[in-house]
Amino acid sequence: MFLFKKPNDKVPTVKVDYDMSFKLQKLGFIPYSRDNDYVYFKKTETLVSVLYKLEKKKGQ
Amino acid sequence: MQTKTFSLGDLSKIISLTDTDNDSVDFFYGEMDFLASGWNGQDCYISEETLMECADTVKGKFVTFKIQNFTQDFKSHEKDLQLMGYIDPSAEVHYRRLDDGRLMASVECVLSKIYCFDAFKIFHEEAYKSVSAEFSCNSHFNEDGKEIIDAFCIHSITVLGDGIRPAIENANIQIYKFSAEKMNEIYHIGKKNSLDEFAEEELNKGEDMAKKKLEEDVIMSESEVLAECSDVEEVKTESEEVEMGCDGDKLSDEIQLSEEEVETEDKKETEEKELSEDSEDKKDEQEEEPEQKEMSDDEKDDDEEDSDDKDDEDEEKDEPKKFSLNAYVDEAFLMEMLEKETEDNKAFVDRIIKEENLGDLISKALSMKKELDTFREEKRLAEVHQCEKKFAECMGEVKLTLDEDVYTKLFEEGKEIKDMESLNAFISKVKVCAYDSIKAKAEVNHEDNDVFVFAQNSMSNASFKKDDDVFNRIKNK
Repeated sequence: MFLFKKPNDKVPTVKVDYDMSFKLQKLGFIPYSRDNDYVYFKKTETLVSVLYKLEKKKGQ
Repeated sequence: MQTKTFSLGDLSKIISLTDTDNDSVDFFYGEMDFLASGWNGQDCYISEETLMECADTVKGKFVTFKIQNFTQDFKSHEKDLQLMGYIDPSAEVHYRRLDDGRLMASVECVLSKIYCFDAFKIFHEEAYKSVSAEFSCNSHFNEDGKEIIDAFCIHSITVLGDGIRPAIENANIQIYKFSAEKMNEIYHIGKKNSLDEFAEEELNKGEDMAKKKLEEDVIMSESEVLAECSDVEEVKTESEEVEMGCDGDKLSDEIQLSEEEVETEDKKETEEKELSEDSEDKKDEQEEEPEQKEMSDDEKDDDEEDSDDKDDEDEEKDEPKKFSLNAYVDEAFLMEMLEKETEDNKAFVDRIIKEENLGDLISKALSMKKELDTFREEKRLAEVHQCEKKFAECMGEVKLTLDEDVYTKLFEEGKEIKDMESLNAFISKVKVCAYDSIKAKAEVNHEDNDVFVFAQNSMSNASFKKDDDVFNRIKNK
């Protein structure tokens, strides 16, 4: 399920671009919302650590 | 802007991928389980009431996709999704209860072959894919901070690639054409296949034939019965005619007399038989008494068992079975049958040996076995030879160090050894003996000069002390 909905304050989210979104979805994360530029995922510790590792790998 | 082009070549490919002439070149059809009640992968809750109220918003909406060129599979929610098809506005949304208790909404969809031929090819490979709904919604948060969806409006259903987890568990699209079950349903609802019609006709023909045959048999049997009845009636009429030829009273008297005579004769015979049996019985009474007792006991037991009824039936089953004479007859018959079977099997094996040239194989196997035996014998002889050689070397080494008695004793003991394992043990034993004897001799030759002579029994320390000059010592020798 995918919501066309801007997330509010009650739902902390992390916004990523579409390439990163596809990678995260391949890893099993489910997107919460999206707009033209970004995809929003619910912010969790696991997601943040995975993002950190992916960004680090991307930087190398 | 991305443009979609197609050539007439696509049409021929589409036609080649379709199985029957009834298929449309433009469309293919599927069913989507697109949304379910309960908690989803985003920790949002959709109640059954909300689902049933808002699921109809899927009607007239689109089915979207995007293909990843590298893997030739669907991607996920992308910003430039393509349209694959739509949900007919007149389609009905169906609901069904899943095994886990959720209510799943499903709807049929119409998809294009020409304008999304790549997607069509993917579905041709695998008719089942996960889907995800894109919708706008109103929601509120409960006391636990969980999001509860109050209403939603679906915009599209996106087909997901392999490895992408849908938020709604088991949300999927299944293409009818490539699903055997659905295809059967469709083709049985719509036009019947000519092959099906042919099969039905043949079945009907077969049933008619069987019925006719049965009726004929019944008619035949009835006619046979009627014929038998007519024969019986003829016999009856003949007997009646005979009776009619005689006087009725006389005949009955004669019959009565003849019956009395027969009865008297029978009585005499039975009496004579009884007398003869009694005389024989008297002789065998003593022998039969214990048997009778046993029989009487058995009868008593039987009576008791009858009285116990069903409770004792299980116990009777547990008892060993007593074989009757018939059983032995059966056993003999069984033995004959088995013997016949073995003969048949033997003949069968002979035939196979002849046909399959198994004789050659068997002879080859036998020759190989002989060869193996010769190799084994050669190996054994080689081992014996090696043992003898090693034994000789060992005894040669220790001959000078051992006393003659010990040496001969060890030699006698060792010459019988034929295997390497026991020879090795023997060699270690010999070496220990040699070491002991060397040590003993060294102790004998040991003097106060604290020089330990090892394996030099021929040269004493005394001689070494007497003359230090080596040339003189050689001369003296």
